[in-house]
Amino acid sequence: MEKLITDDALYHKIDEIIAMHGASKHNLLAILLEVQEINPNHYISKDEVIYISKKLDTHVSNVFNVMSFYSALSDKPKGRYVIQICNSTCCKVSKYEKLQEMIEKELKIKVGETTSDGMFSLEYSSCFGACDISPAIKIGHEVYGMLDQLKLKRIIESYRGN
Amino acid sequence: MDKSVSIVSKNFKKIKVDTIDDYLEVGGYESLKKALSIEPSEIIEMVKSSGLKGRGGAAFPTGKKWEQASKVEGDTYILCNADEGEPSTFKDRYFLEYDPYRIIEGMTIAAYAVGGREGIIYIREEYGRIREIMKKAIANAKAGGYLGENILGSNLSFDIKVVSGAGAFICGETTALIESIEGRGGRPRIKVKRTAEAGLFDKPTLANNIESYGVVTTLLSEDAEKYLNCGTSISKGTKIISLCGNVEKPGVYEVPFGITLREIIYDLGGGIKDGRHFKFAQVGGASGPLVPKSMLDIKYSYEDFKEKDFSIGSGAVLVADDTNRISEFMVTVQEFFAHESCGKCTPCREGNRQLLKIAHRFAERKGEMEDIYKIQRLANIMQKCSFCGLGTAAPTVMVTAIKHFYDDLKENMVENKI
Amino acid sequence: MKTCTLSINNKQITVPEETTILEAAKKLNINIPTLCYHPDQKVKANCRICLVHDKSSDKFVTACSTKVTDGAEILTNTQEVRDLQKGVLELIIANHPNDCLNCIRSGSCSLQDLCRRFNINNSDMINNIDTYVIDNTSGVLVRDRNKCIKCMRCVEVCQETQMVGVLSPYNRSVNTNVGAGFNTNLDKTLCTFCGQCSSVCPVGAIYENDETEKAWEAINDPNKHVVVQVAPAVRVALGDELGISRGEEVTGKMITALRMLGFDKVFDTNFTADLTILEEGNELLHRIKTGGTLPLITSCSPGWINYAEGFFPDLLEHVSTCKSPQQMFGAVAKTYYAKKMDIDPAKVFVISIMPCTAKKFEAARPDINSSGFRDVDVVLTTRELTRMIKSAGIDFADLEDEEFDTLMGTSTGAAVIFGATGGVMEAALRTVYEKVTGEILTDIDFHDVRGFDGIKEATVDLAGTSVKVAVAHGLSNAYKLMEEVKKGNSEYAFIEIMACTGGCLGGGGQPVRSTKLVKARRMDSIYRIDREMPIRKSHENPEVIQLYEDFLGNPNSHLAHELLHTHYKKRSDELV
Repeated sequence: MEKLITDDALYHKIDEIIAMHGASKHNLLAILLEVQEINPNHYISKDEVIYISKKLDTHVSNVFNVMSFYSALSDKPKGRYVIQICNSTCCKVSKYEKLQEMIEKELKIKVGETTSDGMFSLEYSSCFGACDISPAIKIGHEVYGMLDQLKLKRIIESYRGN
Repeated sequence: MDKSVSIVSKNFKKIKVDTIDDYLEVGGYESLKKALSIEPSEIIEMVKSSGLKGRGGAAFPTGKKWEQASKVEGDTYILCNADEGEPSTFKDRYFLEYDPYRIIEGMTIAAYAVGGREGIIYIREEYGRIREIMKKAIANAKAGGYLGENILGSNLSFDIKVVSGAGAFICGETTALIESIEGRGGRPRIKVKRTAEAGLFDKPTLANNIESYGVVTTLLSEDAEKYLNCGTSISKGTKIISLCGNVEKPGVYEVPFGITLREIIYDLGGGIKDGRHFKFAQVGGASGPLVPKSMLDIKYSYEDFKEKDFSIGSGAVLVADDTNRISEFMVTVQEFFAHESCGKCTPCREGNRQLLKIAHRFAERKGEMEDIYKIQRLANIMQKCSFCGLGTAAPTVMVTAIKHFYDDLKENMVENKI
Repeated sequence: MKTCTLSINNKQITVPEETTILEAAKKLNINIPTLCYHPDQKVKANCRICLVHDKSSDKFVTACSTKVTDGAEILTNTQEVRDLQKGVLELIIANHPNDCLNCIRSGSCSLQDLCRRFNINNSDMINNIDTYVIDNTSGVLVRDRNKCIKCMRCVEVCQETQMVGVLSPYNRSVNTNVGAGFNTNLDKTLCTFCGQCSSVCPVGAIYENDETEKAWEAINDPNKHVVVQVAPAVRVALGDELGISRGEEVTGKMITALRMLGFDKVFDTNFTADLTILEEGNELLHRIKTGGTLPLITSCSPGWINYAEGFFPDLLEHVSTCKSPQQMFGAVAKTYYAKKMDIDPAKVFVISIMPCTAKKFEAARPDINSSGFRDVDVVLTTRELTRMIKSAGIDFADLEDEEFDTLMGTSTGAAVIFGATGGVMEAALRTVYEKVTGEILTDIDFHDVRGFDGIKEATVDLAGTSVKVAVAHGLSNAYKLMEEVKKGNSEYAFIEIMACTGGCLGGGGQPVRSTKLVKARRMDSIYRIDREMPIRKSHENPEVIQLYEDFLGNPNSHLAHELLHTHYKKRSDELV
């Protein structure tokens, strides 16, 4: 789902975000994170990047440099809810693969894919510090662990419900 | 008997943090009051004599760092590294979530001791909800006169800003963290000058791990003696550890230095869960060594660990039972480093790629004797030539696997065809 | 000045405190291997191949970034150090295409040199060669990301020296790449094609689009009358990779070699450099007299023109409407020359040899064909000519000297200094001064506008009026001057801007590994040629005088305007 290039409301919001950060190049990371947040598909489009670079008086290549460096930023659209499965050390010994199987079964997609209705994307993530409840998943700002198939189903349904 | 203690972590899950009231009630801000009543140099002496070493993993003597920073002219930025990206580590999360004011207080003490006006807490992006808790705590502290102009009626003016990471483990490295705050990719910098002299925005900067600030607050409190009485003669005090993996009771614990690994895993952690057996532990996060069963009685202290070529690191203790294959674990660790390497220097960027391929071979039971030599050669190159600590630490698991789990690796090798 | 005494490979040396180990070793004639290090750039220390052992601290440190310390015991050549260096090199090669036989940089590649140095045929590392698509969309510069060793030299030159900001690293880990945002192909970016990236690249990751086959084809085509013009800066650089010491003048041999290659006529771009001075000098005086747009800014550097059209499109009226000498030459060749020689202009094929990659872009501009044909058909860089000469088996160093052909081969000292920063300005002043004052200029050396300072200024007294002029080289310095013009507080009447540091002698098409030291030598050669020329002022060039008398009439006559002038326009908004 591509954004409309002439979405005035979107660009107005971007202006606000930039203004709130003093239109300073140093706040580029914070600005990008917030701009991404207002997009339901958790990404920043090329047009937005060009716009931001003009407003901050910096090169498009520099904005793209920052965007592409960090895992939390994306230049490609994702599903409405991004489910991240930790595949780092602790979740490995806690068998994240079993959790992955459960989710893939529930959503009928594999890691790296998005459901056809655009609701869920599934991806791996490096450790996000939820080792005490591993294996863990993260959906937006929420972290879930100690899951069985039933708990997982309920969680996913609660997101579907929204 | 509870082998853990509750000194630096005494407020965890015990006080409400949405207002500053609970914190004040349990003796909060007494440390700052004490600090403001003595000379900055005295505070630095106290930190030095405590033997406190950087709690993020680098273990640089904190007192020495503060002393260097205090000698530099001009205001020093007080940076708090709460990026906590080391896998199996979640103890900093507890500070942010359950005892944020302790950290704010510790940073304020640092500002007084080395001369600073602005503080920044860099919190990893993945701790989104927790960032809000810290932001609120800062606002509360400010409202109560514990931050801002003329704190507690003194000459000290200090404020703190929260900055978010964006999903890059390398940003836990101080110069990469600074690059990130300056709005760039987190690629470590050449240290032309020490960070103390020219760090953030080329200004004097003091960067410490969040737990280090927490300990400083304790050092100036009435709990100081209790803290310093714990530990060994070289490793004084306590460490906040994150125990996790195949144990009954994963969680954050505060342990006196000198406790054994066995005590941590079996007494605190309740032993291996589901009736299984211990296979290996990894201490210090993904950057840390593998510990075999035969070494479980090692004392958890800097000197004992150094003797065995181990490192305390971030304080993570990951426990793996016998359902785990060393070779598969190696793949997990190398995938992490290959993903998180910033890509700047050749040894780390290319070396991690090579190590990952070799790890895959073992996991597919296609390892060869050649691979053992290759791992050792790559490790040597990466340890000596990498630009920063990520490249230096990345081969650790595979090197310790060869050292302590050679038989496991042998089982995953192709049979010799002669 | 504080000093340090240390030992390198057991030899003692005392050096200033701020010296790096690399620099100190060089003083002892020890060349520690390097890749990302460039003497004119910031230290990067990312390739890690310059590792040496500091025995006193038992640490391995990068020589390029580590300053000497008192009492240090540095070892640069132990087995251990060599093994580590070799290991780093093998890691690079594991990700590098094994393409030496085909690669344009074979023979001038820093990675290849290191492999020879360390006797590397194969590495025991696992090969991981990328398969990125090569970007030759611009027809000027070619990017081959598969060969990139991530040294970031090109990034520094594009972002900081040139402030164009097209190249930047992106992604992380093994996905690290260098390119424009969203990996946009060069033809859709604001790249000025100055080619400085290709000049600093140690390997074959970014290079000029080789058009030598087109040149051979034309030369071998009996229906074409192939005329070659050579820029001033080429004659002090061509010898670099043909056995002559760097920066030495090789004009005579160059002409001989060009004839041996089969060109029908060998002419000198300096001829039209003189022509440019007459046209542009006239333009300047006209603007001063009639209150026209000032400052007037020179227009012979296409890298600068691309920059102006992309980054300062609202100030294009300041830019001189004169074409560059290259383009003027083409227009004159296909009209005046063709007429004089009674050759069908359609058969005249103009090839230019330039120190510049952007000249390829300039020659292909859609609107630059006022003669009825494309002014210049093919542009070859100094590097491409070098390859042609080698390919033809010519023993360049042993050639006799020959002269340019007549009609468009005579030039002056004022023309040759076009190759150095400040040269166009000085040439213009020599002519303008005499035109305005009516006096003969005896001291014609305007030293104020010479040299390597980023921005140079001078004040000239023109019959009682004080006229301030400025010279900038390197686009970051152009930026500074243009910002003043933008704000309306530029105090200059005339500005010379060259995109490349040093002027054309430091052009993006010159032999690679042209450091500031090499550029300084070229500069010395150029000013020496000027001093030794019989005629040193453009308006005294007899062939140019003849051109006006026989054909053009006067500067900016209707015909002159049609053939020798052009216009500029803003670059597309779509470019990133």
